[in-house]
This record gives sequence, structure tokens and C-alpha cells, in this order.
Amino acid sequence: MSDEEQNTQDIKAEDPNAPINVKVVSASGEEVFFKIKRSTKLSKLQGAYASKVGKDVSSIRFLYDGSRIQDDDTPSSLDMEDNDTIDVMVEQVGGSRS
Amino acid sequence: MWPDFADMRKSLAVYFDKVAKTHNEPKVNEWAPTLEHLNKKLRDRRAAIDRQRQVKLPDSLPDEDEQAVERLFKTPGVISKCAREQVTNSDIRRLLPRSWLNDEIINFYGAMLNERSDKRDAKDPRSKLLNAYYLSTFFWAKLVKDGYEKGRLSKWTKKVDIFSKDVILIPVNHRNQHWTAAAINFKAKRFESYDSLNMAGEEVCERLREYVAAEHLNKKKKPFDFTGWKSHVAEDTPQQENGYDCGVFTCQALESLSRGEDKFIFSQKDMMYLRRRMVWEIGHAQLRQDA
Repeated sequence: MSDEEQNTQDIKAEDPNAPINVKVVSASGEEVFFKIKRSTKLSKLQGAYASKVGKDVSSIRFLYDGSRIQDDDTPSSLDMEDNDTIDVMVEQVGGSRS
Repeated sequence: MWPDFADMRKSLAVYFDKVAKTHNEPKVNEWAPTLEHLNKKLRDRRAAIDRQRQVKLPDSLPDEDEQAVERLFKTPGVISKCAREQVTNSDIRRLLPRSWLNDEIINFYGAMLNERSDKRDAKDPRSKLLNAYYLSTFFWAKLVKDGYEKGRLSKWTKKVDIFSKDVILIPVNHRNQHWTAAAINFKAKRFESYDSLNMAGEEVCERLREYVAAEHLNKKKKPFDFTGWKSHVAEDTPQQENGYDCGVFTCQALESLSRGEDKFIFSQKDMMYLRRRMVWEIGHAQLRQDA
């Protein structure tokens, strides 16, 4: 293990503000990468993602391991790890079948 | 005159095609019912449905609750929270007559089912509540689109052992047009599908079977024992008579199933009432029981 890698490992374990990489994947498979601090509210990421893809944040749903991400969640509150994935789903509706 | 070989070949091809298909299909009963049999079957089915209907749902909520419903329709912003789900005013207004339901309403309802199941008193002999677990509307979307591996569905149950549950409840969205209810019933060993239009069925059960196989292999490191398991496409599911109530039928089917009840007492005529009851339930993050 190089010194640099050793440093990242240490930071990850000890520094709550060390950034992690998060992959956001849309329903159609497009990926957007974010680097955020473990203490950053994920509502920020949700807003940034929505404006990047030009969608209203209320029309999309962010899921981490199937659980809906709430505005106050942070990577650290969700026990997220480096390189984890967030799924973006779109609103679903139904009434009958045409 | 020579026989027409081209025609003969064609009809033979059709015949062999049919034989091949029949061969691959599950064996059908050769016995053909007479009109009398069919009439009896129809009478039996109607009688069974009538028996289910003996327990009737009310027409409306008590006055003060009806007023609460009206207030909820007028409350702006986020109206209610349950577990990780929340519902806003624009979502709750989907429970007004004739509106299609969305994922937010259905997942909120599911979160209430999970909460009720977690809080149930398993030792209470009067309680019919099962050890149920609701998977969100996005579960099916992921399963169908990405599959178990690519959809990383093993992580969806990192805190839940589905094999320890009585029943897994699953809402199914069909092409963003239709909602149906499905279940993995560990008690009855059944993959179940309940469709208020009686169109979906076998393929839903088949997908659930694939999921159970993959989940068991992933979590228990060995193949699942499917002995005794069968598909149950419920033909007696109450039917919607319009183009908008399937979401309500779906929620109510899942609710009944969470109580171990697969003979549903609601029907089209109860939908107006059930929409309002759901508004009250979601607004108070609490399920009611009036049947």
C-alpha cells in the first residue's frame, strides 16, 4: 500500500469531513458522479443532480439500497461507503390499463 | 386430380406447430364442462362473493373524520410522514375521486403496513396481523428492468430476512398505467397476484419465483426449496369498473393480505369511501380498522 493510499484510508476512518465518491444512477442507466463530505446533507446532492439533469426535484426519488433518502440524511447517517450508488427513480402512476 | 401438396404442407405445419405448443404447455384437463356445470360454477362463485360481502364497509367516515379529510385536502406542503416516506398536498389530492394514484401514496401506505406489522402483538390470539414486509413500488421496477444482480436488490433487504416473514407484499406498476398487488406468501407457499382488471398474473408470479431463488442463493448460500410452492393468480379479485381506481384496489388488497385475508370484502362501490379513509389514514399516519 502506498503512502497516499494509507493516508486516504486513515482520513476515511477518522475524519467525518473527508469526501466520498457517490455515483448517482438514473432509471435509464446514466451515471453522474459526486464527491461529497460525509457530513453534507444529501438534499444538496439531490438539488445539484436535479438541476444538472434539468428535472424538478419533486418529480424524482432518490434511493439508497432501496430506502428513500430524506432531506436531512447525510452519507454518514446512512452508513454510506466510498463509491456507493444512489438510484434515481421517476414518479410512477397508474389507474387502469389502456 | 393431384392433391394440393402446398396446402397439405401448410396444414401439416399448423398441426405440428399446435402439437409442439400443446406439448410444451401444462397438461390441460380433457374434460369439457357442460352448460350445467358452468352455471353451477357461476352460482358457487357468486355465493362465495356474497359471503365475502356479508361484512360491509361503511359509506362514510364519522363526521369529525370527514371534516379532517377536507382539511387535509386543503393543507399545503408536506402533510404527513411515516418511516422514510412522506406525502405532500399534491400527492394527497390524488385520492380525490377519479385521480390516478402515484408511488408516494402507495409507498406511504406500505410504510404504515410495515409499521403496523412491526408493532403487532404476536402473542395476542385475536390479532390476525401477519409478520408482513412491504417492498416499495420501485422494487418491481428494478427487478424487471435491471434484474437481481444489476439492480443490487440483495442490498434492499440488508436489514430484513424475507425468509423469516409470513408474507412479502409487493405493489406492481405496469407500464406507468396500472397498479396491481402481488405477494410472496411463505405461509401458504404461494406466489400471488391480485389484479383489479384480471389481466396480469402468471408472469408476475414467475418473476417473484426468480427473485426468491436469487435472494435465497445470495443470503443463505444455497438453492431455495420450492417443494409445494405454486402460483396463485386470484380470479376472485374485486374488479374495478372504471379507468382510475386500480391504485386503491392495490393498496386495499395489500392491506387485507397483511391480515392474512385473501378474500377481499371491498368492491367498486366502496372506492369513494376507501379513498377518503386513505386520506384520513395517511394524514394521521395510522391505519383504521372498520371491518
